[in-house]
Amino acid sequence: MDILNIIDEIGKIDGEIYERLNPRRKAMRNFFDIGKKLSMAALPVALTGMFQKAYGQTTVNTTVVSALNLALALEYLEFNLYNNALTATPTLIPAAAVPIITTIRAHEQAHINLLIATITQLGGVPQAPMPYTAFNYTTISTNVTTNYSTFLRTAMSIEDFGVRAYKGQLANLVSNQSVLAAAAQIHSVEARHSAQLRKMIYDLQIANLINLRPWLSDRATDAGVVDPTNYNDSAIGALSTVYYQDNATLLNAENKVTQAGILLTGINGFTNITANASAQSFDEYLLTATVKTVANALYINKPYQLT
Amino acid sequence: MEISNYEAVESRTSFSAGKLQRRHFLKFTGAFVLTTGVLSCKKDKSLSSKPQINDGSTIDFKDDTGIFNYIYVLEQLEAAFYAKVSAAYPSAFTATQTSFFNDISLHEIAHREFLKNFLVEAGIGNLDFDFSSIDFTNATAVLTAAKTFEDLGVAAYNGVLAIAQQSFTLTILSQIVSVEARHAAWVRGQVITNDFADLNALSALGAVDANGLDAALTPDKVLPQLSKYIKTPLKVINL
Repeated sequence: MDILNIIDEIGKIDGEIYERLNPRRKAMRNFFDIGKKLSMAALPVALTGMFQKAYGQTTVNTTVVSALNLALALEYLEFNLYNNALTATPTLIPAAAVPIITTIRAHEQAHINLLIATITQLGGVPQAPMPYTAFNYTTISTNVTTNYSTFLRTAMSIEDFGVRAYKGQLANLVSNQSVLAAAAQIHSVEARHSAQLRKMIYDLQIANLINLRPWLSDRATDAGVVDPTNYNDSAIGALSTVYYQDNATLLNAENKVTQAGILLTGINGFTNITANASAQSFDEYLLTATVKTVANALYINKPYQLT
Repeated sequence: MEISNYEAVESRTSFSAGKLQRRHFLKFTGAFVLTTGVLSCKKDKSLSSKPQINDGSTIDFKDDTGIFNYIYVLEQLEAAFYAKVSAAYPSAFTATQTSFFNDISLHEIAHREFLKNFLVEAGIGNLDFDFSSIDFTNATAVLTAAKTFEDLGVAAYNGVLAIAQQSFTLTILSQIVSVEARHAAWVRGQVITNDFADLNALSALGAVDANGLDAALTPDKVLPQLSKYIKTPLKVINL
C-alpha cells in the first residue's frame, strides 16, 4: 500500500491534509506511538484512527466500541475455557488434541489483543479483563474440567454462540470499514473453531451425538433418522430455547429455510434441498440484547455480567 | 447508518438506487486495510435507478449487484465441483467423507440457487466449468481441490463483506461465509490432520496469524486463481 499516494489523493480534495496530519498534532503523535507497538498488520487500523482524528471526529463512536467490547467479553469467555484446560487441568485433554486446543487458544488471545488495541485506538475504553472465575462453564455439565467430551461440547457451544454473536455485531461496524473487515476475519475463524470442535466430538462417537456435523444441523438420532422439528444438534437441552433455536417464528431461528424471502426447500426443483439442507446452508445471527441475556444466563457470573 | 434489526427481509427490489447508500469520506479512509489500492481508490460513481438487466456475463462492482454476481460465480463453481464429486465418489473416500461431502454439495446448490433467484435478471447466466485438471477418482486430489475452493471462498466472502454498500448484503454474506468456513475447516483436516485453521498457511490468502484473522482477498486477487476452471468469459468492471 502506498500511503503517501493516498494522502496525496486526499490532498486534491482537502488542501489542508498535511496540516491535519501534522506530527505536532496529537492525532499524528498517537499514530506514530502506536505504530511502534503494533504489528504491521494492525497498522492500517491505527492509520484509520489517525485519519478519523485528523478529520476532527472527537467523539468516540460508541456503536463501534460497544460492539467490539461485546466481542471482547466473548473472547475472554472462550480464551479462559481453553487456557484453564491447558494450564490447570493438563490431563483433561488427550495429547493428540493439545496442539488443536493450543491453536484455538492462541487465536482467542490474538483476538483479545487486537480488540483491546483497536478499542483503545478508537478512543474507547476496553472491557476490563475477565478472569477464569468470571465465567460459569458448567452449563453443559459440572464435570467440564474432568470430562473431555463435556469440555468439547462446552467449547463447541461457546464457539457457535460466538459465531452468531459476531454476525450480529457486523452491522454495527459499518461506519469503520477496516474494523468491519477485521471483525469479519475473526468471525470466520470462530466458525472454523466450531467446525473443528464438532469434528472432534463426532470422532468420539458419543451417544446422542453420533451424527453431529461440522455445521449446524437438524438433530439426527444415532441411527441416522433426522428430526426436522429439532434443530438443536448439540443435544444440550438448556440451549434449545436460547441459541440452537427451534422456533420457526423467530426471524433468526437457526432452522429457518427462507432467506431474503426466498424459500430454499426444494428450490428450483432441487428436491434434495430438504428443510435440513436449507437450514444448514445459512448460519444465523444473534443481536446484542439476546447475546447479553444468553451470556449472562448461561456463562457469566454475577459481578461480571454484561449490562 | 442506523440499524436496530437488520434481518434480511428486504426484497431484491432493494437494488433500486434509492436504497443504495453512499459511503462518505470517513468510511473511505478505512478502506485500504485489506483492499489495497483497487477498491480504496474507487471514486464515487453514479448509480443507476433503472432495474438492472445483466447481459449474462458481466460482474459490475459499481454497487452490491456486483458483489452478489461475484459470489454467484463462486457458488456456481463450488456447486459444479461437488456435483462432479458426488456423481462418483473416489473409492478411497470413507463413509464419513462421502456423507459430509454430500452435505456440502447440498449447501452449495442451495447457495447457488438462492443467488440465482435473488438476482433474477440482474444475474449472470449459468457458467461452464473446466475441472479437467482434477483427478476425480483420487481422494487426495478431490480433497485438495475442495480445500482450495473452500479457502478461496472464505477469502472471497471476507474480502467483499466490508465493501458491501447495504447492511442487507452484509447480512447475507456473513450468513454464508461461516458455513463456507466450516466446510474449509473440516476439509483442511481431511488433507492434513489438525489443519483446520492454519492461519500461517493461509497468509497467502490474506490471513494474519498474529492477529487471529482469517483469509480475505479482493476480487481482483481471487478471480485469477479461479480462471483456469471457468470456461465462460466474464466481464469484470468497476472493480
